[in-house]
Amino acid sequence: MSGTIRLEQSATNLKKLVGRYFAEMHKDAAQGKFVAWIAIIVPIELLKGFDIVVAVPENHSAMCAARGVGTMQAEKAEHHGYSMDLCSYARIDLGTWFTKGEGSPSMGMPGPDLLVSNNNNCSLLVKWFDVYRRKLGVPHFTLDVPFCYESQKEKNLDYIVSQFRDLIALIEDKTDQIWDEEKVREAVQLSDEANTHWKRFLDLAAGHPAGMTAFDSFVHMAPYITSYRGTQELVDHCKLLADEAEELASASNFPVPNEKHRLLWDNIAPWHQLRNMSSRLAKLDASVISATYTACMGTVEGQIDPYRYDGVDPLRYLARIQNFSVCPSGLELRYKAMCQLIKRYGITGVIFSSNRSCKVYSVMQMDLKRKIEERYGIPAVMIEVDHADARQYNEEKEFMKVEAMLELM
Amino acid sequence: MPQEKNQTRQRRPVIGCFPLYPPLELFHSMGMTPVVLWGFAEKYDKTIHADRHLQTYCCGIARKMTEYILRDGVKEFDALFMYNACDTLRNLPEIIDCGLVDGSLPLLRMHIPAARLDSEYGQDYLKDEIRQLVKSLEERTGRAFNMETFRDSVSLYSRLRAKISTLCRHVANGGIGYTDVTRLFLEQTMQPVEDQIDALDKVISSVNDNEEQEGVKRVIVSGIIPPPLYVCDAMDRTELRVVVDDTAMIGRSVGYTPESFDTVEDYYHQFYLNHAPCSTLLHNAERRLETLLDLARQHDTSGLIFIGEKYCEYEYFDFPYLDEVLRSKGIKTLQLEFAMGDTQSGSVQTRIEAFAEMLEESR
Repeated sequence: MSGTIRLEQSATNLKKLVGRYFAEMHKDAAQGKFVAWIAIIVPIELLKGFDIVVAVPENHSAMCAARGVGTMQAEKAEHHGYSMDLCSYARIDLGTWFTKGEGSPSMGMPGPDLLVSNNNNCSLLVKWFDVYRRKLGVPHFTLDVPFCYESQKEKNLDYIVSQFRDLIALIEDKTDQIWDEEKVREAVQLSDEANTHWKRFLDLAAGHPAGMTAFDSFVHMAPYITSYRGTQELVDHCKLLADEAEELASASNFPVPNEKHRLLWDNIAPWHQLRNMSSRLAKLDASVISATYTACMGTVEGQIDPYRYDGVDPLRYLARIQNFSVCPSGLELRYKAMCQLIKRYGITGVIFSSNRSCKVYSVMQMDLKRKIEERYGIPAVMIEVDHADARQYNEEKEFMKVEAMLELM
Repeated sequence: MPQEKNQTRQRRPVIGCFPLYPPLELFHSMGMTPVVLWGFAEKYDKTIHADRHLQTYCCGIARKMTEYILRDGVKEFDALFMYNACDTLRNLPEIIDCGLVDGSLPLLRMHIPAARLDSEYGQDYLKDEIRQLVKSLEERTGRAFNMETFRDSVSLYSRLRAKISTLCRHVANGGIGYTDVTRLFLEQTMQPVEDQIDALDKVISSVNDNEEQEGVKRVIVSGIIPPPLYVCDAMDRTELRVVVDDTAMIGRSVGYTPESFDTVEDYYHQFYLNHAPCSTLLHNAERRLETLLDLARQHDTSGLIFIGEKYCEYEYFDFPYLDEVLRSKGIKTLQLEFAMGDTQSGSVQTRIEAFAEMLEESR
């Protein structure tokens, strides 16, 4: 399978966007713009109300892992005393920072003036960002988003909005800029529009064979998790991607033409293994056609369809979708979302990627696996994959488990 | 809430709580016996039940606690309580629910803001959480919250904390070994507060401090749980005297009790706002370094031993920075790591001996 090459125009556009993102980030910072480092699901759209540079360390780490330098960067952090048991994104990011960007495809990221983390995606982000606060003496704002065992409560939404206002006041104070709500409203509308195209792309998995793979979605989620969220560029990219994939599907050009096994992936993308894993699976006529990691984008807890913006209060909307990734949801909500994916896309097997670097995603997978096997009678397998540290993945050993599952199917 | 299941606990319903700093006084005032489910280090070598639900890269604390609840939870407890903590623990309520095969346990939850507790919204949020918890307890127990009873419970827990602090001072003064105190604490932690106070009183009344300082190396112990007993013993034998226990389970748990408050919400706002800094309390963890440095100064310590629980991300993100700053201030450090299934007691003892020698040489 060569999904990303197959989607040629989208791949070209993606490369351009990612290159420009890092180049402009460095250029703008060098010209003195205020730089905020944020965690992935901190609402980037809210920051569009300011003229500042936004950098996302998790995104940078994923890129390092995908480009094959993740392990090298992680080792640098380990040499500074950070345990190998800590999240590999964090280690890659810290290692890059300790060595002033050396070894990073983007030469790292410009130093921050402000750190904004949240604790619902994972609470260790707060500890990770705190390392920089201590080292650099820059403010660290923690967005406290209560974990969801059920749908978000109104009280929690109000609490998040209060924190947004506090964050806005902090940035106004640090930058002498006035927050522009209208720009934020526009940004939210653009993200909302991009979400609909993204969903159109993901829904090509419903075809037989599927018109896309989860590996495509892993690659093309990059603009979403950088500061392109809330921009026309993101809308254009998601539209291009969905259009191109639809066109290929209508011409019977499928990523895995002889698709026999339709798989669901649960966990963060195995960035260092995208090509290997997708091509090995394709040889076995198996295709990972959906992933909980990318299906949740733009949704709320337990859902797989976008939660649409009503055009009213952008802050309340952003607070409502603060749980748009998988991790802030409890077991029952995640189970509910997975069941919807299994039904909608005709899933015949599930790969649970047990990822020691992301406990919040992985702990509970053993019970999710049992529940899904019992309910649907489809096979599921659990393999050990670290999302960014290739040392923690034994390809032959883990792939044997997948092959065994495919034989069962 | 069902009637008490364990007859030794004064016929009060028992509520198992995690992680470390639950509102014990409130539960007690509502007629319950709260116990903190933490530190089963000496209890299990294997976690057969928990291993069906948790990967091996979850910390031993979570695995052992889950093992305990899945094995004995329905027999031992009438309910469970948890507040938001690390990424592993926050997933546990539903996992435990999946794993309980011989019944179920009602679960009460609360969110302690990780945002600024000195902000109006942080304070309002926490106070509302406490009000909701009180309401939920009233519904479950059929008993109305009473402020005077609550004050009595606060007084009891304040006494308990004072006694633990007294014992820690006796360790610092050489009146009792760190091993004895840690063992006592681990034995008592699952007992009702009244029994804990009695047990501590007995020990305290028999302690005579030892003014002899020769050969003594004064150290701080810091970590999420106390060291295993064989490590405490090695420290005692090598005259590493623990003048400050900064473990989350002992020192950080007893560091502060609000003295003056008007309401239960006010009490817990003060309690969490001014709590001893802990890596698990995200709103105050930044004070930890400053606190450790202050403690080191006050107690004239020359060394600090980190007790690492493998896979505890909260602690492991803090260690390198703490280590760097402490060393720059002339405080020597030793980092030990413990995991389930360890067979490293010999090497740990050797490292402790070497650390003691290093402190001796630098005197």
